[in-house]
Amino acid sequence: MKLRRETVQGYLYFLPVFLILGAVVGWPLIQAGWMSFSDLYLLKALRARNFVGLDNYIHFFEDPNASKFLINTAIFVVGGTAAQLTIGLILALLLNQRLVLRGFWRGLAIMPWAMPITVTALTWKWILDGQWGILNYVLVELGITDGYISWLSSPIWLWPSILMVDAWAGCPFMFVNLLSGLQGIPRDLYEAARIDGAGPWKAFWRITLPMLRPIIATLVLLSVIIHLRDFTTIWILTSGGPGIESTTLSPLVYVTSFRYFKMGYGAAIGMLLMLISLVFTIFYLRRVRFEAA
Amino acid sequence: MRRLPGQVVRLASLSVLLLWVVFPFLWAITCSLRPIDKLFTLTPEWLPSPLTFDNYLWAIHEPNFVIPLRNSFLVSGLTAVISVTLGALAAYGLARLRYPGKKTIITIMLSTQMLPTMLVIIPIFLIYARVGLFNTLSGLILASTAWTLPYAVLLLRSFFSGLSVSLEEQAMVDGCGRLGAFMRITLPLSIAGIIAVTVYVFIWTWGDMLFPFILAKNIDNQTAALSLFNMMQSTRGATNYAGLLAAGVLFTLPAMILFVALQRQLLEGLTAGSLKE
Repeated sequence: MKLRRETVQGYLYFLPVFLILGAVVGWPLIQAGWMSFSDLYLLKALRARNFVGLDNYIHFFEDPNASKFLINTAIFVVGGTAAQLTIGLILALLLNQRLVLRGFWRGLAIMPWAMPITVTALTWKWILDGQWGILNYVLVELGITDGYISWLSSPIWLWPSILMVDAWAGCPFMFVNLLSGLQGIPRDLYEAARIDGAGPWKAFWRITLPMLRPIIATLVLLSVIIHLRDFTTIWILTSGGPGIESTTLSPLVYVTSFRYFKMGYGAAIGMLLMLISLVFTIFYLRRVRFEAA
Repeated sequence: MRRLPGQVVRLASLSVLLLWVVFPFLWAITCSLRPIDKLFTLTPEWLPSPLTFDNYLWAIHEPNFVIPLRNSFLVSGLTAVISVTLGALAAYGLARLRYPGKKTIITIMLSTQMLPTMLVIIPIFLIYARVGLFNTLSGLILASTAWTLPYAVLLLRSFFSGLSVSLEEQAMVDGCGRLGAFMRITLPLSIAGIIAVTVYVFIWTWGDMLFPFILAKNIDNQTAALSLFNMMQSTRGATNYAGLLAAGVLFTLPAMILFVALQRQLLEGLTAGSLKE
């Protein structure tokens, strides 16, 4: 009898969360799935939707630009994750050693976290500006480049620039998690390695990296999922342009659904995005459960 | 002797990295303090001269910034309070009560955090349009609450699980109900964690541009994260970039203050396997 009362209580406490998530996440998700098999086109009429089977999905893969969108997504996901992780790791290693004012430097390293992404874009677009940007000015003054570069519209510099800003905004999260990982490595491991004659380089590859592996794996999965669904970073920097040069799947879903109002088609692309993301989510869930156990 | 070059390399790379991290802050602040004609110049100066607060005056008198800024406070504040209140209730049940399906609930919480927002927002937009939540602050609060709830539930659950049950049981023996014991014993003990989650939800909603971008149309119902972006895109905004930077600095300030004040709690909470976006 007691167990049953606890069960009722437990569900009761969870009920408000369940209702909100059901209304704003669960139900829309089901609708999105259903929409992806329909020809819902907002300019025609909201009600007039027909079941079109897999047409939307087939349509996407027949789009000559489909490979472009997928490649862009891969560049953003792989490049963004790699850049954030590498810089986060370097910062964590450097700020884990003995240093004057270490707490202060650590505080500086996480500052980008507190800057809203709109302001990040506002500031970096100004720094990277092709005409008035300080970066061009400095590079030319130093004699590194000959002329001014339009960083966010040049075909060569477009992705490096986006990834650089993305790394700037995302490295604090990596840094903080990796630093706490580093602090969890027992010191005597390094002592033992030193006695065995291993230099710092060897110690890094033989101790630090293997010990950090579980955390890095979780962070990579998380970062991949976040980059897959990210819309804002790309949109406020380039709006997916020039042309479609920096359009990844999330901005594509936006443009299809809310600029061309082809909501059925947009939902289908979104479902594809979710399926890709699901693969990584499953791995992520496995890891998190493994760690909790 | 052999250690010296290594140390120099390390300090040098640390300086370069930290300069890269801090420079945008410095540049945004110093640029917002100079007259607009000193902004668009082919030979930029490192420090503002003459120093001017005109851009800040412009920002605090610009309705396209001030109205959404007020909305940002409203939406972020209410989202944080609602999300943490409801989240704490569910988290308490998950941490303390024994009932079937808890694992499923936790898995669902973890996976909803991973959903592509852009996919779910299409039907949300259509539903909102039908029920009259489109272009309202309540609609924004509801959507932001749903998006931050899983995070609040998971994190608060781990806070509550970390606290001892025995005090609560003591209180229950002394005649408190379960909820009463929770309110009197566990809640005060986990106040640091609750504040950390509240601030986290606040900062997330404060910075989020996607929900207002799709779900808010008029300036009266937009948040500052969106209106700053809109001003940045418009030609009028482009001519007063210094004013925009001033607005951006002002907009960053509340998040920054909260962040610095609660840095320790936030970092402890966030490294406990949560996610940031």
